Amino acid sequence: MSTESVDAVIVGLGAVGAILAEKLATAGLRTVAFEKGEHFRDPDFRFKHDEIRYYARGAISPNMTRDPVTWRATSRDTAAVLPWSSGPLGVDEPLFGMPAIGTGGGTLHWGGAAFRFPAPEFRMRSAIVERFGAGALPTDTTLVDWPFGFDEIERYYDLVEWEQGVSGAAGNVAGEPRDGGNPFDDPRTRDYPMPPLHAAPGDRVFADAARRLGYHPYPIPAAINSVPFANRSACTYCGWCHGFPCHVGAKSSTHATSLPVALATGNLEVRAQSRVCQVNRGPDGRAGGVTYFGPDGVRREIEAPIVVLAAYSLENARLLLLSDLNANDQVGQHFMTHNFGWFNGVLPEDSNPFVGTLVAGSALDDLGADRVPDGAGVLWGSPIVGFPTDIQPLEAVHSMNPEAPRWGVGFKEWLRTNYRRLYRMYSQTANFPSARHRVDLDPTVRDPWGVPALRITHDWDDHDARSVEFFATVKERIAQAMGIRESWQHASRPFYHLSTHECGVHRMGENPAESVVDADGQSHECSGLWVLGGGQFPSFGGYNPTLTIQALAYRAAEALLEGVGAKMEPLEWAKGGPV
Amino acid sequence: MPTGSGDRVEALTILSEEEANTIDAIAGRIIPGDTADPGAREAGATIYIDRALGGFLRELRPVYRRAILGLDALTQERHGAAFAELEAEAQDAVLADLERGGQGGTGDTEVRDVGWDEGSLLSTFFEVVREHILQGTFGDPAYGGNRDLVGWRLLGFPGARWGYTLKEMAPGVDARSLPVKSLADLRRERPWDDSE
Repeated sequence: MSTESVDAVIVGLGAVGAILAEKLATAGLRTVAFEKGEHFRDPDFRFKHDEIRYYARGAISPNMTRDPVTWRATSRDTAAVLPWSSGPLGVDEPLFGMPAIGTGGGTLHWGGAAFRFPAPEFRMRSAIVERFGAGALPTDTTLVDWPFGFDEIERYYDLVEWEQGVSGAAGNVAGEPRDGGNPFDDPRTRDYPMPPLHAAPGDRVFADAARRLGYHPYPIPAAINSVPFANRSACTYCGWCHGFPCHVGAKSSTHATSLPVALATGNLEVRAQSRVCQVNRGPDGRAGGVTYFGPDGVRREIEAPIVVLAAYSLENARLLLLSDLNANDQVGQHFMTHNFGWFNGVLPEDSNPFVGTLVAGSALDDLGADRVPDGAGVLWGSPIVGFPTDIQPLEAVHSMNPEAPRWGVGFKEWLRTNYRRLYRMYSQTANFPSARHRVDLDPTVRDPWGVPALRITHDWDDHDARSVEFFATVKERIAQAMGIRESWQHASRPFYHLSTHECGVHRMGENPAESVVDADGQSHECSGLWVLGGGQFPSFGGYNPTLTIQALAYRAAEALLEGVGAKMEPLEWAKGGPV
Repeated sequence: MPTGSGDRVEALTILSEEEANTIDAIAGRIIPGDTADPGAREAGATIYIDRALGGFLRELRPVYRRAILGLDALTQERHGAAFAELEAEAQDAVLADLERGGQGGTGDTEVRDVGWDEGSLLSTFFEVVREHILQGTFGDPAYGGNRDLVGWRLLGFPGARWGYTLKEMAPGVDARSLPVKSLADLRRERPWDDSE
């Protein structure tokens, strides 16, 4: 029996894989895409307003029984299945685990925060060394600059915003400052395709307070339709967004954006409930296809000269290690993740933190990236992001003031009085890459298919804790100006080591000895193999990674197609001016 | 009196009458209430747990059985009666003891590291049954709890809303005046566009 053969195989149909599927299929490549979760259609999510199903029981979250991941603080410890995401209390916050699975992947559960990285993020190492001296960096850090700068990624950012759909207020179009946007914005080619979302009720208190303190709040760019766009409806402001799929297709989830376009070409076949366990190479050493388990549990092979790994940074690293594609020992190194520095408070008046979507708020970049002030004791900045809403009852109970009663009359009264007044803020600070933080294959834990689980070795360092502590003081100052009198924050070295924002573990770079993929995302070791996602990031700052991950996906698609003599075609709806 | 308020008695699918009474009693202390100001017991949290233990949480069924027997043995020893028979104050004292014996106590995000070893069974059970009682109070009524949406009305949470109008989104709106919807309401009202 001959092995099945196609032009291209894609592993994972999330934020990245669906974009590649669309561009490859549109260019005429016969493509098979594997997705370990379900192949979702929008009507599947009509009744997504359900915390039991999606939050408490993790309907779209990877489950630690089927998809185990282990963690240990240091290489001296024995790793255990994520202690904060398993055990009798059930599934934890979707924030502290792996991204959602099923078509759409992480773009199913995300809140849709669609920040561009500011220009200094692409040269974090150089910027820190120029300002503080090389001695300021932790001695064991493996931090490097990106192989390209903001100017080179800008047009891919523009593609994501226009093809996937982002609502926002531009702060700078082609060098011209614009009112209402982020004054620190780097120049963009054109405006966002849609105006910002309507702000949630609590946002005005945050934005006013921030302005009084001299900050410059701006509407969070949101991968959610504020008006009908790209054959999808506008947001209904239902308030069930982060951690939940969208019931009207307004949120930019790739199962609703790219995948229908890809399927309409007739060149894409989606194989759901199918798990790839290995990348295979041809006799010439080039990518040759993959081995996978189908829904029946049977192991099969498929041949293709192009293989795209788009299964999330951590799963990509796992697949490379399982495939013995790690000649330079770079795979799994340079692990980076976000520390959110969660701030929770009670506003003096009702703000109804369940009306509208969490990104229907404001952020400020005054202290972002290289604008972190002297004397803060930290080397890199972060935005302060308002989180005015999208806080359902169980989520609220799980993030209550630790000083408040946990049960009894006092608990009931605390909730009755305060639930409608909750307000959150977060910063995002990432650890520097270090030889001490990495991922590899767990020596003992396997998934039900017998495949070794991924093991994470990571702990929060002093600089991580100092960063959280510094931004905690900023949040406290803003909170005070907001009239918040009762507040509580996460520990600066929090219990979680996954944030759904894991990066760096298959680093891109020009030197094949010191990176896994080139600047376009193609493997140095195995040509024809593309390894895409946040794993490519050489550094990680204070912004949500998805827009940049998707920009890298468009860049990869363009390079991949150029390599086979084809051209990446933009979507029709991405060609126009603002609606 | 069986779970809930007034005449609303529902069949049990997996819990025994005695087990349901014990969970009812715990629910009545986690979020106390009465007919006028319902709590977890009036919300039917016990029915939520009964349905869950026969379904999604079926692996925890044996643990519930063991823990409830253990809890009653403990109160028999201390007070000469089953937990459900005790006065509220004595129930609170027992629950507070279990809570203190647990590994947590500073909010759920800090108590993930709980196990089922026999030494800490009752303390772990306290954390777990508390979590399930909250789910049965603040989850959708489709799962058997949050009867008459009393959990959401307590908070002023308008529930499974298809969306909010700009007027409803304005600052200063008293959310307790907004209609509260359940998933069943959405299914009945069909607010989606059938042409899609």
